[in-house]
Amino acid sequence: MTTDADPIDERLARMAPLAIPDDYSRWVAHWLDVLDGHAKTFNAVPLPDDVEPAAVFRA
Amino acid sequence: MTVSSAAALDQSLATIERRDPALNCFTALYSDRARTEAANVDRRPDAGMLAGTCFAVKNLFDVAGERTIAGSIVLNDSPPACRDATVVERLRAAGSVLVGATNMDEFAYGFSTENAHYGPTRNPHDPDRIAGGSSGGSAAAVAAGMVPISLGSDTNGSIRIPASLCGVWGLKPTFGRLSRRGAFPFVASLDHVGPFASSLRGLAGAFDAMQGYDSEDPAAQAYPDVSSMAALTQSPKGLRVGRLGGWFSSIMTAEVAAAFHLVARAAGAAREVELPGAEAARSAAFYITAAEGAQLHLERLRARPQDFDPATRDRLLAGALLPAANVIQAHRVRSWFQAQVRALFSEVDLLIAPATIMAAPTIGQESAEIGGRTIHIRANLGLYTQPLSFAGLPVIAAPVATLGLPVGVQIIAAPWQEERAFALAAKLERDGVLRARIAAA
Repeated sequence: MTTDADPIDERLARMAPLAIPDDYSRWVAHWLDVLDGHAKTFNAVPLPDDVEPAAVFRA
Repeated sequence: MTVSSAAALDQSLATIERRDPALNCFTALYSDRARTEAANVDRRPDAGMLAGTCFAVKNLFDVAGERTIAGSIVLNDSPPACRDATVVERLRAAGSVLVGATNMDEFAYGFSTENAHYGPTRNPHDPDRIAGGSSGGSAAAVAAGMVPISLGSDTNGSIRIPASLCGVWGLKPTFGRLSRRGAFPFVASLDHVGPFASSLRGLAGAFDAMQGYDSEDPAAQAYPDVSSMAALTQSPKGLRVGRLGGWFSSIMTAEVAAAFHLVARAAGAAREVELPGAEAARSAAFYITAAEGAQLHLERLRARPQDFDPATRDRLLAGALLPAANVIQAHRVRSWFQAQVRALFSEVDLLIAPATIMAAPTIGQESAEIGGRTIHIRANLGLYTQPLSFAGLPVIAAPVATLGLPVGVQIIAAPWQEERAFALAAKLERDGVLRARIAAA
């Protein structure tokens, strides 16, 4: 449950796999914007629910 | 008369000594062991189909007793490899002699081989220009006449782009065709390995020598080998050839357009076809690359971020923060796109597309004016290669016989049909439309 004292962005920050050093944050933010643009492009493809992710795993 | 391996090696090492200081193709030379190996090949009663040739490898391939650095300094303190990579083993078994390891973009994340640690590899046709990447050292070494064969890897275009910009032959086989065991990974779900060569015959010989299922590569598939060497003498008559339009004609310089139409006409590709979803495929490939690459390097990014090339590090750091739901959606788009590709190959047997939007830009050049638009070069050199590797299709990067800077086209076949691409490429080479260009010193 999310509370005012522990907002969701703080939880997300705790879950982040690594901290971004301040020196690098400008360019990391730039690349996040680029990647977000790509996500918008491929998320616009209307996929039926039964399309499974491509995977290398084979039992 | 076949040249001896020792004589071929002497010539190769002499060319490297003369030309590499200006071009920076190699990061390591194995001269002593190569001389021993060449002498051994010359003594073998059955020397192998590649006897009398030398080859070089992108420095992400394991070579027994040597460090695999993958264009980085982060791996400089890793132990030497215990075994050769499978494809290196197989080229050696076929009689080719390994002379050294070549420069690349750090961890294969780039299209230019402007490496912050080892310097840029320069294009042998104009040293002020990039060789392309990420396998730029391997392509340039062939284009400079240092070796007739080299190895690279291609996740999003890293064989096809440098082959095109350097005017040599390159092959990105079907995903799962050639073993990646012993090749330092970048994006496991997208990584391919393949050869460069100074002749189509050399490309076919190297490809044939490296084929064969390898249970040590989880992505390898036990599909029957093809004889691309035999395909060189087969007529492509009857094969339905289409030229890719839509996304694949969205932007290119006049010289690329002229080269593409020259090849399309000669190939009889009268019909323009579209590959639905190519733009979404490219975006999904971009996204998966950042996410999987970041996951691979996470511990190194935490511990030693300052030791990465900034251009690599910042993209990987961003990749580490991407939402899982989007990554999984990108893989679902890949499944959907594969169905679009299958449908298209029910109508055609081969496709022709440009390899790059432009000939080699200058070193350090960030943007170019193309068709009245300002284009960011690094982000867009893979515009026409990324959707095809995303679908795992086999592609020959073919050098067009034009004047000026080298330009390449992609000859694309359905999965596991490499021999069809070789048959068409051979016809176009015989017709004088395709030809590798070795740059004079």
